[in-house]
Amino acid sequence: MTSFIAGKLGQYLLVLWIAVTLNFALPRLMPGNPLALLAGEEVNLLTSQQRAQLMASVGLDQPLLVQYGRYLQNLARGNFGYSFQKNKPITTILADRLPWTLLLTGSSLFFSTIIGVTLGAMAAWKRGERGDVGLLGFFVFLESLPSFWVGMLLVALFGVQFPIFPTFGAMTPWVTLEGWAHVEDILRHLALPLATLTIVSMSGMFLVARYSMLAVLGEEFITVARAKGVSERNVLFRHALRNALLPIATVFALNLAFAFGGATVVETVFSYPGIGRLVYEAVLNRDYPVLQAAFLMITVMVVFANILTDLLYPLLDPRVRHAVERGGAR
Amino acid sequence: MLKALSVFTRKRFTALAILLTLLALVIGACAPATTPAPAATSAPAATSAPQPTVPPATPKPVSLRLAVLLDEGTLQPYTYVTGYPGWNMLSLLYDTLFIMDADNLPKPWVAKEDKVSADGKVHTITLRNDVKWHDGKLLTSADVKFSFEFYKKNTHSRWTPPVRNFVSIETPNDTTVVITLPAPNPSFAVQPLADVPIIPKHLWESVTDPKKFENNVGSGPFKLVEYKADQLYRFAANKDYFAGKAAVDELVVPIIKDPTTVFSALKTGEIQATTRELSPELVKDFSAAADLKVLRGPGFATTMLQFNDERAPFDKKEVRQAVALAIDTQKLVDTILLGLGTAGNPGWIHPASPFHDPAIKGEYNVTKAKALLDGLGYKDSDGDGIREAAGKKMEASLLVQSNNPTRIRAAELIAAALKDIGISIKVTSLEPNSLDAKVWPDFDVAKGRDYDLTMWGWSAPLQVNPVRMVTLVHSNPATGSVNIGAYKSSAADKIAEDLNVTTDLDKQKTLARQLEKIISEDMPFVILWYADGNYAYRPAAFDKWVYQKGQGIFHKLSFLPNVKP
Repeated sequence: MTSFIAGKLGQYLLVLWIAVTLNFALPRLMPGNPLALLAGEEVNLLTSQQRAQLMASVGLDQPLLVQYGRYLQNLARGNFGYSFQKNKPITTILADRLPWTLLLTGSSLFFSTIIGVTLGAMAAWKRGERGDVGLLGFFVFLESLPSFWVGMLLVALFGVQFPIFPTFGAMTPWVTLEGWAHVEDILRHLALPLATLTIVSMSGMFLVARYSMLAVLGEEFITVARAKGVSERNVLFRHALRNALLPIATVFALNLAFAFGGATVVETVFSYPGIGRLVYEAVLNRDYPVLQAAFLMITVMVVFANILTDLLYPLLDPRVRHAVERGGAR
Repeated sequence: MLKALSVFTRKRFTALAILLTLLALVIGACAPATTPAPAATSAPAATSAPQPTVPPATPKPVSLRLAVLLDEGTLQPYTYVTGYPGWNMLSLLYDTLFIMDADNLPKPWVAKEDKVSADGKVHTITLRNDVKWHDGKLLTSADVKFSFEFYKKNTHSRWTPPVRNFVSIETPNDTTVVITLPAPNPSFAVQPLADVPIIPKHLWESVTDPKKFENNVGSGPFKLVEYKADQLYRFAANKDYFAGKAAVDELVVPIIKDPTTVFSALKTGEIQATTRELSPELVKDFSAAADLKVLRGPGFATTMLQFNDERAPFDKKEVRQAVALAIDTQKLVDTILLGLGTAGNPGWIHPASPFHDPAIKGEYNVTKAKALLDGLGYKDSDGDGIREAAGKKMEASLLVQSNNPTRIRAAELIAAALKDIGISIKVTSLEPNSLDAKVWPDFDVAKGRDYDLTMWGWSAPLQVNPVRMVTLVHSNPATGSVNIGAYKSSAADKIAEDLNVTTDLDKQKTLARQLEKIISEDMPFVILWYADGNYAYRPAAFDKWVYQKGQGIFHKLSFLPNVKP
């Protein structure tokens, strides 16, 4: 078991190093540079000396290798640098946005998983019947809806036509609310973006759960369980769903990791202060430090999610557990 | 419908529902503790200052919520982001020595007058003696001198170029500033005087890294009392403003990043105005709404088709003329802008500008366009509908910004129009920064270019000041800093050089018209249109907007309706 974990850890460190390097290289490979961002508007009026001075002020005049070395050095010290655009430490920027992002993407992941897996399991159970076909059609339809369109539709309906929910932001920024009123304000602002994100993401979970259940339900041990007289409910939950859980857990863990990356389109439509929009703006402006830090965070979370699933598998599936134990004893 | 539902008993469902609600509440409740702490940048004497006891007769304070689309950083001269509306927001906090009036003419503001010496090089500026900083200290000539020197030393793209050539700045007394220039500058009143913000010496003199300095004390009609990054700015009227208190007591500026959402919020009344122009499709709907008003006026921002004047076949004047003749600009205005705009004047200057020569007009004539190409011997010899120029097919790629649907539509229509005269155009949509890297690498025209044709546009300030036409056409990259097509004409260069040092307004006009004529004949670019500005707002909240010609409603003077500079 220990050598299994050590081996995995080595793999993950390698993956992390490659990711860090790519995070450094990719933004710089894009055409264009952050000069406009550094200089502000009317950058054309600057002399070439002034331009060089601006680029030098953030170390972009150095050879790439030197920049890379500095980046690794700073990273090792936990220093993510300053955003070119916002003139603030990146840790502050990310810390400001992460709670909002996780509130939105996390709760959406939660709801879409519950709804998707429940309905997916039920649909598989009733494979081919009217309910299954109906659900399948419905979710394929949902899957095909673009999120900005769903968002705009919800705004038009529940923001403008029937003004039940606010149309933008994570809270009413111009009033200071306390206690319950504050929570209510946040929940009211969360409603439409959360609904949008859940609507567009639950079909993925539904499809995974349904297919994974179908595969399990076809196995002979299900027939055996039934033949033994195990109740339908026990067959579904103790025998089938338990075995169908692996792919679901994998998808869930990965989605959880990507939840840290935010939901760019939904954040934009609702002007929600999340990470997705931050990254998008950083790409447009070539704000290298923000890109590096945000991508790094997402990478780390994905690696972390993988570790989590690797550790979770043995718990969920005895077969994996035994294989690991055998491997460890060798 | 589904029997399996029975396995999810009602009891379980209720328990689950309660669990979910609790979870949501917990997450919700913990969020505020970690959200951005407000007001990191508040001006000292701002929010918390206790209001003097208000007598009951005082009218209700006017509060206005006006949305912008982008965060403008900590909103001081080194951190604001956009020319519009960032500069305009900045100008609520900081003053300039002159101000552009509703007709875009520079008028004295913090300065009472600017006396120019006979040789045009020495400006003696007299300041008002009643202008105070937000912290109560008096604004003096020392602050002006300090500001210009600070901008010279700490590079900023907008503030440094207009002040970097000053020979000297003297301050004989507290209200007099004497600036000596190396050569006469016809734009001096517009830029720097009506453009460069004056900053308080006593707060900035120890600043070494201006981008990280978080302070918003200016002398403007508003004080910044709150900034929540990516969420909002809150301004409060400066009661001691020298030109009188602003007509709005509290200005709340939420940041809404999606234009569609901005207009939804305007409809619901969550906001009452926005700096964003109404898109043509919405004008009718918003004009008809009972609680909304739309203010419309000419816009000086240009939309154009830019040639790479160095690349064949567009290095030939006749080819560029043929392209211009083949494009029906009025039809573009009617189809794309639903008529809410002015068709392009081939000579660059907006027809509503006093500098425009009414004799210069655009022309749409496909027959003439074909004749021009035929005259060059560029004919379609193989019958595929595409002409050949010097043995090469007349094919070109037209770049367009992927985030700009209006320009993409225009590019498609232009491609169709050029097909009619035998030129094949492939429309290529690129992310804006990547497009800039091809068209205007490092924003330095001396670094060359790699494109055939591109959709382009310049913002209003380039139109407002006719002298800036020089930067558009001069062949020397140092002077022609926005001549992105590498247009070369010795005749244009000569007039441009004259215009660049002419301070007399009538002479400026004559020269500008001569230049306009040359541009309209050489066609270094095709001006497609100038879109009208349409600004929607809720009049019940505030109805004193002033439309500044070509530029819109969001500027300092809208909030000072009783002041006529």
